[in-house]
Amino acid sequence: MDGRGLPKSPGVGPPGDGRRTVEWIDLAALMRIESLELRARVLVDGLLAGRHRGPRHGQSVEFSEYRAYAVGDDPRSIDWKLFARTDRCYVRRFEQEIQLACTLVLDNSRSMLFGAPHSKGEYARTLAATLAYSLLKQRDAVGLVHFADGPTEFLPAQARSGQLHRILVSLSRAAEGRSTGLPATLEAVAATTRRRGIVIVLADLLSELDGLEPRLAQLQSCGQDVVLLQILDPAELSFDLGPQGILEDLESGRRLAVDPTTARDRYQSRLNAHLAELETLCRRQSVDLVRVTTDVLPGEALARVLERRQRVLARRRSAA
Amino acid sequence: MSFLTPLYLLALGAAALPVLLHLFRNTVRRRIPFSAVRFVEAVPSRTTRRMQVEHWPLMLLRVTALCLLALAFARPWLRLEATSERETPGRRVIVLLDTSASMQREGLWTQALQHIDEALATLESKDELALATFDRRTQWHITAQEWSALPTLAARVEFVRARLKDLKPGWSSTHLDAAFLTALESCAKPSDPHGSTLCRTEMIVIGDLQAGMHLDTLKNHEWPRDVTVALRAVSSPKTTNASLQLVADTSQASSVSAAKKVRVKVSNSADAANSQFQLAWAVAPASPYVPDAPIAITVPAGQSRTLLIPLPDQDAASSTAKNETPKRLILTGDDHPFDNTLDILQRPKQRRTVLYHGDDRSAEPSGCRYFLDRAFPDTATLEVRILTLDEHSAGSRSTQGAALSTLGAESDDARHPPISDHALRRASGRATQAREAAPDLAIIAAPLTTSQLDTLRGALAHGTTILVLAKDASAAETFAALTQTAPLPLEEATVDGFALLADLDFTHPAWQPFRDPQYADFSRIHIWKHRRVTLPDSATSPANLRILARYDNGDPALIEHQSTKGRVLLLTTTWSPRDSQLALAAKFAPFLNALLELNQIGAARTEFEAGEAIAWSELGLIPNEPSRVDRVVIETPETDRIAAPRSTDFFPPHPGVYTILNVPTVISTPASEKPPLATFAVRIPPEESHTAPLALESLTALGVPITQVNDGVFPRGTSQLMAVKSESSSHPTPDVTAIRHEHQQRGWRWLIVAAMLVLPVETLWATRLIRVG
Repeated sequence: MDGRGLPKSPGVGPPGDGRRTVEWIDLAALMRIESLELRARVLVDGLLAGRHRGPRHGQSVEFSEYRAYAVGDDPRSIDWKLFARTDRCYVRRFEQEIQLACTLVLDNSRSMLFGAPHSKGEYARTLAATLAYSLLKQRDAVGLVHFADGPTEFLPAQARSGQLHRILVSLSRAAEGRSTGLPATLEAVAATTRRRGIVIVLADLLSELDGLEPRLAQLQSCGQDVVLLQILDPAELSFDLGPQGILEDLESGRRLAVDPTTARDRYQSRLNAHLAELETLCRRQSVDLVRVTTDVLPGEALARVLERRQRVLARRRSAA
Repeated sequence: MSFLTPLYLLALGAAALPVLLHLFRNTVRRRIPFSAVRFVEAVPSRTTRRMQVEHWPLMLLRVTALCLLALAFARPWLRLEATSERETPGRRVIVLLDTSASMQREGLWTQALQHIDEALATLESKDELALATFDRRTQWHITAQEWSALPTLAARVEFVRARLKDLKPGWSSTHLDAAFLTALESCAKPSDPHGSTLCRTEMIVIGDLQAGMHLDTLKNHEWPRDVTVALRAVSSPKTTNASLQLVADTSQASSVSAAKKVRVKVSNSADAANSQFQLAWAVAPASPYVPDAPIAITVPAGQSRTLLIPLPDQDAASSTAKNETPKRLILTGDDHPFDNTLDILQRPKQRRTVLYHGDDRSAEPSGCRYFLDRAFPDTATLEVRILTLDEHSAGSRSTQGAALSTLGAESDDARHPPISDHALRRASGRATQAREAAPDLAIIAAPLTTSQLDTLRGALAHGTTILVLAKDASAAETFAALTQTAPLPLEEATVDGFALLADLDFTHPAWQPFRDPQYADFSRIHIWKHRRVTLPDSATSPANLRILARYDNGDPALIEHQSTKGRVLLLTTTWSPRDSQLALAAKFAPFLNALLELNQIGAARTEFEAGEAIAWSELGLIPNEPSRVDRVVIETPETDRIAAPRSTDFFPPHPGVYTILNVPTVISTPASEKPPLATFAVRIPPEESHTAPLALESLTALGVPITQVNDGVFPRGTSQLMAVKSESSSHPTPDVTAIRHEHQQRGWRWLIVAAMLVLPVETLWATRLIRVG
């Protein structure tokens, strides 16, 4: 553990426990819960419990590393037993000593309104609320950035009390952006975030990818781990829109008369090309890309993020 | 198939509505919001045609329902009798031509003749025509027999035109009801003795159809089914018509000042354009009209004004008659002068004598004389002198002498006109003095002496009416002495409370003022005391004895004995307040005045309407009196003389003042040398001045089967004839045959029923489709 990531592994129980838990939580019933906070509590307490370590110091606190004593270190951190054996002073370091600063970047454009029975935007807000609740519960700092064609609202990452409430209030705003300007948003985040931390982008990522890669690289260079959580509706993948009609772009309002049955193949090929390009881009920049669809339970989606994150961290650790 | 209201067929276009809805129902493009349109390629939509009907039965049911409704409103009918109508034998056409006074208006008669020409042009040889004119009377001028007797249609038409040349409008009122009934009566009698082959009768009424026509007798009359009426209204472009009517005769006036004025009413038509008129007196009816200080009056359209016009001063040159002075009032300023003349006769004051014989005085309210004085008030034209029998006997000689001297002197005193008025009315040569000496009414309330009895018998012989009041049982002897019959048993009757008059013989002239049922209620007059007279049985009672009234217990109340000239009446009670409430009742004065007029041979009327049949008795002439003359010479308003037979009634042809001269022997003598027997005025009926068009509803409400008005078919709901005339040209309507056939067949009902059957089926079908999906 390099001290910048999420807990490496679930603390209690195998990953399959979460899947079992999914069976008794109805996604539709969950999304019908009006309160984002309550929705997040259900997910955290019901699905994510035990999947990551708690923030408090205790018996289960895992030793991280030794470091040679230097002047100024607290003498209480000197490992006296090791000193007795080796006659050298070492101080012990624990990973809990580092507070995680997580910035949630939420797509607030109108394209997130798509989806049934619940929209992608609603799904993304649920994920954001769940993450915020879970992290703030561990005393981690959580911030929130809304963006559409650019950053529209910015909540710096904080761990103090009341942060969850501010985040939830901010999440309750409806999506109204007419375009998606993720690169500009990431540039703004890089410019304003001084602390190392993790940036989780919750967006459909269906817009043009021009300019995204430099911004990701900029964030990485600023010490931010970036996780792209791509949220898609199943209909966007299958292009199953029913009988013939007029497609109306939610952001630009552009209308296009198509027959979905005839245009499906071409659509899917172009969409897959876009997704492949996105994956390639993320791979080049070592950015975690997690793609979820709105028919998956938000807790399950978050579990995928955690697992993915753990794999990445494990690779990094092994490489180090 | 034909349609009565074919415009409703345009509603068949609504049947396309379900078809269009079915075709376009699926063509509405669905709008799909999408988030990744940029990955979608613009592929043209499928070109397959989606405008196709998916539910044929449902669409057909809806179209059928709408078509049925549209057809029902168009009111279809089948021309089932098309072939039979071509073989229709012909029509019976009855032309009723209005010759009333209102047709005197300018241009109307010419229009009427044109309408007759148009009607003649539509006739075929198999048709039958009859022509009658109507005003107050209906006269046939061409009968169906005369029409059928002529060989060819052209000859018949010429015959009609020749008859029309002799016709012209008259001056009397319009009795369209009588004309209709006469025409219908002729329809009931087929002209063909072998049975009429004519299928229907068409009456063509040609006239101005003004609002003042008489239609009363058409009530409750059922018209035959095969009779139709076509109206041909004639109208004048000039609508201002003011009329002049006499509101109250001067004889009605009670004061002397009022007698010097005449009350007239000037009415103006509702559609008049002028409201300024002038009234002026003509100097004499026979002389040319000379405006003498015309009086300007303003009568707005549709209103009337009543004016009190002072009579002109008596001019010696114009007073051609000694007893009655005619004057002519003329109205000017309107468009139609036919009703602008009013002839007024100023009748002189008449004197009557009433004798009273009783033991009470005039100042004694408990007696009968007291009320007698108050029952005959002086009026402007009538003065009644009430004398006792003794006073009359003492002054009879001097009165005779004065009367004779007055006759010879031809006094000009207007207040005391010559007493020869009544005498001269009786052209029988009766002794003038004896007639004058006889009283008109004698009331006997006390026993008579022999001399008094002789006097009354003499008066009775000259026509005096004697009323014997049964004050007590002695009245029976008086009645018997006057009638020279056996005394009737008379005794005091026993009255339980009061008795009432009942069983009055209203056919007798004594009860003439009470013939109208609204005045015939005598139940409020209580009789406290009366005498009971027992009449002999019918076998032994005199034939000229008549009971005019009875009490409610059956006892006779008023008995009349008719003598040769006069009559004796016995009232078995008195009007003394001790005996009855007669004198206190409002009927008392009319009753006594009716008794006063009993000896007059007919009430001498001086006012008649044009076209009215005038009996000679109404003029005061005795019709059946033996005379060596059988004709009466009358001077007409045109100052020419005609001789009318005395055996029939006289029909004055023109309005104006008529003067009855003497017997034909005086024709050779100058008129000024002999006084006229009577003078009377003939006026245009006032309803003829109501020249506004008649409301059609008043005819249709009476059931008149009007099918045509002028050239157009009668449209329902139109109020004025003229409105119909103006609208008929712009809105052609279906003919009468179509209406009749449609009414008989009523096919629209079946179409409505069919639509009502289709609609539930459609509803069920649609419900089923919705449920299926």
